[in-house]
Amino acid sequence: MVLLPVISCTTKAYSKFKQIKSDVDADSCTTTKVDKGHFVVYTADRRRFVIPLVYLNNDIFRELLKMSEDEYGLPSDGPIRLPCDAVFVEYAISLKQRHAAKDLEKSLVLSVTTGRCLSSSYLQPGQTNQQLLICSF
Amino acid sequence: MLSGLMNFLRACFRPRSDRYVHTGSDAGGRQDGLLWYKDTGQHFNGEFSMAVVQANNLLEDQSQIESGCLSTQDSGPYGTFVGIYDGHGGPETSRYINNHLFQHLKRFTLEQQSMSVEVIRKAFQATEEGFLSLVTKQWPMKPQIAAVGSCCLVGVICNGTLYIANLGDSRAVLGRLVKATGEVLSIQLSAEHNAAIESVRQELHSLHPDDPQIVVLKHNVWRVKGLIQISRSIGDVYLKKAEFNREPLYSKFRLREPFRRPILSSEPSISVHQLQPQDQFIIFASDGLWEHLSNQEAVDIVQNHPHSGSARRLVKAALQEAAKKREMRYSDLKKIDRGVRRHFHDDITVIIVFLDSNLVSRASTVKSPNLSVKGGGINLPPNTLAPCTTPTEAGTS
Repeated sequence: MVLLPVISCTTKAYSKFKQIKSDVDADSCTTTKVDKGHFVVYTADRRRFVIPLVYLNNDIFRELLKMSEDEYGLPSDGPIRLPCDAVFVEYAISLKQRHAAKDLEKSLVLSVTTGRCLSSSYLQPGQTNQQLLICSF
Repeated sequence: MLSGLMNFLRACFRPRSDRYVHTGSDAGGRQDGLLWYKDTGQHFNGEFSMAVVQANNLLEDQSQIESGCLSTQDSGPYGTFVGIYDGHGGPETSRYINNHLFQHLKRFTLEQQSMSVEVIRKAFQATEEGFLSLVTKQWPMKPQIAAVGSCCLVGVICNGTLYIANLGDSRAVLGRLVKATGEVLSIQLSAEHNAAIESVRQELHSLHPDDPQIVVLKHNVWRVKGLIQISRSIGDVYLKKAEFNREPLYSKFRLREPFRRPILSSEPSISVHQLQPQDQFIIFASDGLWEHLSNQEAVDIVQNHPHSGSARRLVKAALQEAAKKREMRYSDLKKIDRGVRRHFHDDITVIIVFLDSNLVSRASTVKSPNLSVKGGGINLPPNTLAPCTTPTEAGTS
């Protein structure tokens, strides 16, 4: 399947991941001064991501924001929370960084909207992307 | 008869975008990216300042200030009318209110020969009924219109009296000078109909004793029937008339059991206040402002700066607070395009009416030219980042 080459370069994609900061403890980071041109999201497992603004144009991130609205409503008093785990956001970022094909992004959006694959119980490190892609087709 | 028909057709086909083009002069307001503002203007009782920032893909907040004759004949009475309409589910209801409520009010003022609580109540009722007939007409083609509604906050100043009428969760706050200390205190003039408030939940339970699920707490937010935070509105006919709570309306809006009495009310809370010489200004704003600023914070900002640009200053303060809560820079928040911007803050509308005590005490029979300003927004195709944000946005206070 066409998916194999994509999976093989995920490690490389994660190494580029330094540009996008992620912190483990949500509470300790609320006073962090955010870099210019970035926004912040928190995942369901309390990881904090500092993401470039341009990612707001990405279909996967737009879908995640929409899901956040459906799940938690639009919060007036705090940061944006996404109803998925850090592993999922990392994968979405890696797709975006590698300029993944539109149809791959679409399939991920589809897997998001069917409501599966969002929790780390589905996405175990190591076999993460393979599982995700398999279950999204 | 023919001319009447032509006027009707002209009204129907007038391009909606015309009011967004106000870049040349400040007369009708200015547009700067997603911010629209009119820094200063003169109404029957003093100055005013107005600002709107758009977050939704289609601006759901609508607003107006009308000054001069408050009846359909120029015999008066004369005064000032302010309306803030915070729509939800789409812009249709708030736009409808913006186009009809004041006309109804003028008609009832003429009928009664004066301004009164009754006139305002009737104007709200006629607007609700008018929108219901619009929904009835459009339902077969566009069933989704049954799930569109709007908050509705109105202030009328006439003959030294201030009337505040409210449905939903917008808010009017008075700034009153305390002569002994020189402080300006905030006095809230309206009460919100939001299920977050205990007394509103109690009211809902007493109106629906047979429904323990009338309000539901989900993710720390109270919602009527798990669907909507406000308990009173214009529109939202899917929660007022059972015949609109069925297919082809989206299933997420449909209730499992049919209901016999309206779940939401359209009865406004109306209060009457005699204005005093110490009353300095009134801030009218949608909840987009109040979720970021307290009453006193807003009053302090207005009090400590020049009148001109004060509405824009409040919008800027709210956006700075929104950026802080979202852990990002204000300068970056402003770059986010409408639509996706809604995840960072709500549409925000602010109208500040300054009260000149000499003008407030003037009789309502004194004629003055009519003025009408409607809060704007932009009308561009969906895009990525905001079309243009210059460093001047939201002023340099």
